[in-house]
Amino acid sequence: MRRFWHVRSARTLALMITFITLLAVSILLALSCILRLVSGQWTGPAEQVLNTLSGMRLNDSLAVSVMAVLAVLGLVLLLCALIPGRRQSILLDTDDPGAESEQAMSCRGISTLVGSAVERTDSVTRASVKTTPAWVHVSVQTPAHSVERVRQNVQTRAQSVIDGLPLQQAPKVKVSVQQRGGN
Amino acid sequence: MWTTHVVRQRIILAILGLALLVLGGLGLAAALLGFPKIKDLGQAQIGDSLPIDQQYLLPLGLAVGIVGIVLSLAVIITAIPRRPAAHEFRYESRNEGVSEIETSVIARAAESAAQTQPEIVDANVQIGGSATQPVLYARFTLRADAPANRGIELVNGRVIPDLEMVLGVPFAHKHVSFSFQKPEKQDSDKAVLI
Repeated sequence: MRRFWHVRSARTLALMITFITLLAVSILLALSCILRLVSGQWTGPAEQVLNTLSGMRLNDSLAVSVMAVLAVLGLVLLLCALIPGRRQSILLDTDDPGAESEQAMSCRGISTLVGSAVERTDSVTRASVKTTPAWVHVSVQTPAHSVERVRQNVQTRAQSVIDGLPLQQAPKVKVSVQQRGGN
Repeated sequence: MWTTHVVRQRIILAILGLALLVLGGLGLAAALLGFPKIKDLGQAQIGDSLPIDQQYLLPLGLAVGIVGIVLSLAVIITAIPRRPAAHEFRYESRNEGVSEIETSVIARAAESAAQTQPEIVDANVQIGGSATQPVLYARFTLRADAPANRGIELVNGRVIPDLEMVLGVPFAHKHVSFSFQKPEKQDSDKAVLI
């Protein structure tokens, strides 16, 4: 079954930046050639580039720099393509590839759900939650001195929310508490 | 609800990245390391290998430029994320003749019906495929202060079967995602103990 929601992140931004740059270079090249055809001579910048190229050696510092930039750029693009992106959802128990039924829950949605529950915990003044398929990172602020008790309460509450969801693989909950305010 | 072709994007990036890496790497090797076979290349003038002052520089440059423009535009256009397209399903019956249903109309009706349920804050439904093999793409946003299981059961037990009943056939593929939205006002029955 080809999935729609539970997919790894795309590489749209990297692809767009690369090909918009390539498009700009191609337009400049084609435009220079067309202007050369129309007017009978190269435009100033194009002539300058041609003169530089014709007099350049492969081991000149400029040529070496360009080669290095190309190699690094190539490596970055290759890594972009090969490193698997992170999935932004977690599959539900009701997901059934055999029945062509995909059911997923967004990580952002889980963050909202956990955040909403954690913010209702005693002594918590502020909470932020970040969810990945493996972890739920809960970060809370409290004015209370008994940080450990707040941590336990938040951990219990967040864990109960996660346990209540019909997820195929429940992420682990990690809580960090920051003491701020109070006396 | 947007989608793009992830595999195609990665293949294009991999090919381009590999080409640039090989080009840059070979150039650097030739210039700096001076491998025996390409040592002479390292000393060569770049202008020697370019058809400067020759008649075919202009058509070559123009061809490369136009190919680059077409290729770049094709990649950029196909990389733009898009929604699954709505369709017009055509039903033929011996007794009742031919009837057509615009799937976006059914999808909008399903969204409205789903939003009347207290557990569902928002619904985004799209129906693709064909009349005999419809495909469902849907995202339901549930209330964060209501039990999640109840919302999921409601969607699976009522919203989707109702849609299938309207279409007259079960969905061939179902792609459903759930999210949550915070209630606008948090109840403040908690204590802040310092």
